[in-house]
Parts: sequence; structure tokens; C-alpha cells
Amino acid sequence: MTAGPEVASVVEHRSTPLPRGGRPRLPALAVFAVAVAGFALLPLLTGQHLTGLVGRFLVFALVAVSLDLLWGYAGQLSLGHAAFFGLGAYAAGLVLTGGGGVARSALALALAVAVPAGAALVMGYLLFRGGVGGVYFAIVTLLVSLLLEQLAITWISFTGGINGLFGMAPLDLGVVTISSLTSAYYLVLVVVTVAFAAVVWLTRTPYGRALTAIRSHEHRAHSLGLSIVTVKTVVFTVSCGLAGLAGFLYVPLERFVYPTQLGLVASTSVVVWVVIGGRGTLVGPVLGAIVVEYLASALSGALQGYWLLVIGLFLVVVVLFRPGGLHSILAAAWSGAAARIDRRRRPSGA
Amino acid sequence: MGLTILNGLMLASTLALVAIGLAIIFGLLRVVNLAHGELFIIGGYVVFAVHSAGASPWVGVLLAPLVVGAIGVVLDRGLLRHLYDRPLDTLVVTWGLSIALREILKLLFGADTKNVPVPVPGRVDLLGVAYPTYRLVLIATSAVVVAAVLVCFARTAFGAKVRAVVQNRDMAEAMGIASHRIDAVVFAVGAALAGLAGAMLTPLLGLRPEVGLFYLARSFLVVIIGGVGSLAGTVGGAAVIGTGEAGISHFTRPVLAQSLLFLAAIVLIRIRPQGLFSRRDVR
Repeated sequence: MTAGPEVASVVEHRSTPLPRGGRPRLPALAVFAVAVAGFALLPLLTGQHLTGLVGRFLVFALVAVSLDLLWGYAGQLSLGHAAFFGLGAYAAGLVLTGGGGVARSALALALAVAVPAGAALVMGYLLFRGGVGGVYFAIVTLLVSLLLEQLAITWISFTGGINGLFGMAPLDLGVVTISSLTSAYYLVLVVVTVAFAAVVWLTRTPYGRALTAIRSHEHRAHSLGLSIVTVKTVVFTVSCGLAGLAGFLYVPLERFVYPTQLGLVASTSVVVWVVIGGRGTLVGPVLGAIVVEYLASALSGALQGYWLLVIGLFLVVVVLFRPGGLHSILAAAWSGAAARIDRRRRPSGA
Repeated sequence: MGLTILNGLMLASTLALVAIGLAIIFGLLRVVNLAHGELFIIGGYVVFAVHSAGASPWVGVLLAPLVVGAIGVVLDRGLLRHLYDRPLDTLVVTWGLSIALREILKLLFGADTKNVPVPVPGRVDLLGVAYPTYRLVLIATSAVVVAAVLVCFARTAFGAKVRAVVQNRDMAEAMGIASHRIDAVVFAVGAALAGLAGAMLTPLLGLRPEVGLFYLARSFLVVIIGGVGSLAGTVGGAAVIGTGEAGISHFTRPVLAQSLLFLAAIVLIRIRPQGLFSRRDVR
């Protein structure tokens, strides 16, 4: 009836808080260090089962962070982010089913990042140049996820169909071969930690400020001289490259790649982690991925067929009543506690 | 060849029916309803329930738009109207609703495929093929309903009110149009059209809760290719997608056909962002 995609691309984000700039503060760095140390000690304290589970949570956390960079910062929602995660996993899986060795491992890593990033570069250029953003962009990415899952199921000779890929050779990093679950866990931990720190750094550079500027007011950012198409295309490419990197990590950890990883349920999970954790906070989505996936594995027995129903209703309720997610709840508790300590230091009689 | 043409015509006309519901809800409310596919498939389940109860499937076809329209009003008034100014949040909420509705359908009816018999048996010789009569009934009914919707929005007093609200909500309210009532009615009509389409297509679908998703995906292709500039564009988009999918499926798998159309749609966005059938200056 009215208006083209260009109107739909002007999207206001009232609910997400603007990220703070500048250097990370000391308490945040301390929490980060303690968390990484805790994850590093985990395999020494628990068994294989929990190590594998937490390793998977960390991979998912990286996917959540990659979507948060795109959605929480640049305001572009991908409803099909698992497609890029899955592309990375399939690229690495296909290379490694052919055999191991250092060269193949390096190729697997390169392709796992380059294939989803390349796909995002082409798609992003075509879409953003065409003035498609916001709601339309979300729908197009949703279609990507839906179609790729169907293709992976149908194209049996290449992807192994519904059975997926298995029998991958262990990753060979030259100095060490990732053949045990524990070594895979440490690989995941190192890569996810570095990638997370890199994304936090990125959001604090001038480029990161440009992302926020575009999200909060696209036309104003444009009139200030930012190239909207370039900034959006680059962030989409980076985000999908990170999702692909997570897909790469999934291969040594699970030794199995399957079509549903690309699909809509997986894509929805990513959105759920980010929403429940809190958009535009980077830490929130990490928490969201860990908490939601932990609950999913802990409650899978009790809830059985109801888990997806709960997730669907949760999305509705959180967006309506707590758009800031877990992060906003924790931040409120933190500042409340800080205020109480502050009052105790300076007695009210003074 | 004749079969491909007739299948294309059927896909195009039924797609127009589904997509036009999506398009009018988006056109007026700026709400992209990702639960549209579930509203569509609920229409199918209404027919299944009526048929299981022993009544004529036609009762189901008549009942489905009413049931689905009512669900639409409840969703709009209860949830979505609080989010009209947050488009991406609306998207996430309707996606949540889509999942929840799909799971509720699974709990109520089971995840297996249900079969509903074709209400009009027999075949008619047309273009050199014996084509099922019911599919011809589908083509005709869809064409009539879509035409009626187009006429309603272009020619009636109600249509004029809707267009007034679209152009300038505040001004329309100042002229005495109850815009929230228009919102509710439009959402109901959009949902009812999805329900009607689902009800009529049930015998051909292999009724499963997930089928709605594929119709949602196709409807979006239709809207992207047709452009959101006009309802006529949606009909044009349905014609392209419907005949395109039937035509390409003649040579290869339907999944590949859909993927090719999707790639074509993305390239098209770069060349003609406003879609094939609308002018950029239409406001």
C-alpha cells in the first residue's frame, strides 16, 4: 500500500541501551579474568560429559556474540544466523572428511571463515545497496536458513543428507593434534576468549561507534558522512565470519555436522540467546547462550515436547516486558548493591 | 506442458491469497507477521477437525476464516499493538508466536501428517490433461476472493478509510475514523485470508504443523518480488513465483526451484529495490 523497503529500513531501537565507549573498567576486566580462569579449570574438576557440554555452550556463546554485533550494535537482525554457523561447520567438515594433516586443518579453518563471510559479503552488498534493511533483511536471512537446511537434506551426495557428515580427521595444529575432547575444549576456550575480546575491542573503535550511530539514526549517520552500505556490509561479513569460526570449532568438539545446525530452529535459538541475555551488551548474549542451553539440557527430561513452546512464549514475554534481558536485571542488581555499599561508606547522618 | 501451466496457475492463485493477507497487515500496521504461516495452517486444521467430527469439509472451509480471523484479532489487540513502533521487536514476538502456535498444534493434533479427502472428486479434460476438478475450483475461488479484496480496498468506503489511516493516522483520527478499530479489522481480514487459503489447500498439503513455514517463506518471496508498493504488486509477485516454481519444478526438485527463485529475488532487490510491479514514487 505505501512505502518501499527503504522506509522499512529506518528502525528505531528504544529498548537497547547505548554501549559505553572508552577503556573497559577494572571490575569488568576482573570478572572476565575470573570467568576465563574458571572455564580453564573446569576439565580438571569435572568429567568428560560436563566438559563437552560447556565446550558446546562456549561455541554457542560465540555465535550469540556474532549476532549481537550485527543486531545489538548495527541494528540488523539476522533471523537465519545458524545458516552461517552451519556453513562454517560444513566447510570444515567437508575438508576434514577427506583426511587430516596441518595443511588440511589450515584449509578447513580458512574455508570455515571465508565461505560464510563471502556469502555474507555478496548478500550484504546486494541487499544493503538495494536499500533493504531492518525487517526485510531479517526475512531474507530467515529464508537463507530455511532453504540451506532443505538443500543440505536434499543434496545427499555432497552433504550426506539427513545423516550429516561424520568421520572427520582430527585437527592438526602443527604443535598439537586435537584428538581428545579435553584438547578440543581448550581450543574452543582459547579461540572464543580471543574472539570475544576482539569483538569488544571492535565495538570501542571508531568503527564500532559508527555501527551504533547507524542503529540509532541511519539518516543522521549518513548525513554525517558515514557510508551506510559499506559499514553494514562489513559488519554483516565480520559477524558471519565469526559465526563460521564457531562452526569450525564445533567440528573437533562434536565430530559431527548435520542439517538442523543450519536450520530455523537453530537460528531461532541464536536469537533467543541474544534476546534473553540482553541485546547490545556482548556479555549478555554469552550469559544467555550458557543459561538457555544449560536449562535446555537440564530440563529436556522434564519438559520433553514442551521446550520449544516454552522458548516461543519466552521470546514474546521477554521482548514485551524485559527488552534488556538478563543483562538489565543483573545491571540493576549490581548498581543497587553498589549504591548500598556507597551508603554504608558515607553514613546517612553526615 | 499443459499440466505445468495449470499447476503454475494453481500455485500462483493460492499464493496470492496467502500473500495478500500478509501484505495488507504489513501495509497498514507495518507489522511483519511471521506467524502468518501458522495462521494459514490453523485453517487447515479447522477443516481436519470438522471432517473428523463427521461434518462436511465445506463447513470447515467456511468456519476456518472465522476462527483464524478471531485468533488474529486476539493476537493483535492482546500483544502486537503494544509494539507497533518497534518493528524488529514485533518481528521477534511474531516469530515467538509462530513457534508457540506450531508447538500447540503438535500437542493438539500430533506431529504426523493428516489427510483430508478432496471435497470435489473427479477430473476435467483441459489443455490436453485430465486435471483434478478441485484444483480448478481452487483457482477460481482464489481469483474471486483476491479480486474482491482488491476491489474492497480500492473502491469501498471501508477501503477509503484504511487508505486514509495508512496515509496519515493522526489526520484520519481527526476526521473521525476510529483507527484502532480499522487496525483490528485489517488484522482480522489478513488472518482470515490466510485461514481460508489453508482450509482450501488442506486436501493437497499433507497437513503438518511445519507446512505453514514453507508458505510463509513463499509469501515473503512474493512480497519481495512484487514489491510492497501495492496490493496489485503482490498479485503480480504471486504470478511470477507461482508459475516460476511450477515451471522450474518441471525440470528439477522443488527445493532447488525455490532456492533459484530466492537467489533471483536477492539479485532483483539490487536492480529493482521497489519490486517488479510497483513504481518507486507510489506513496
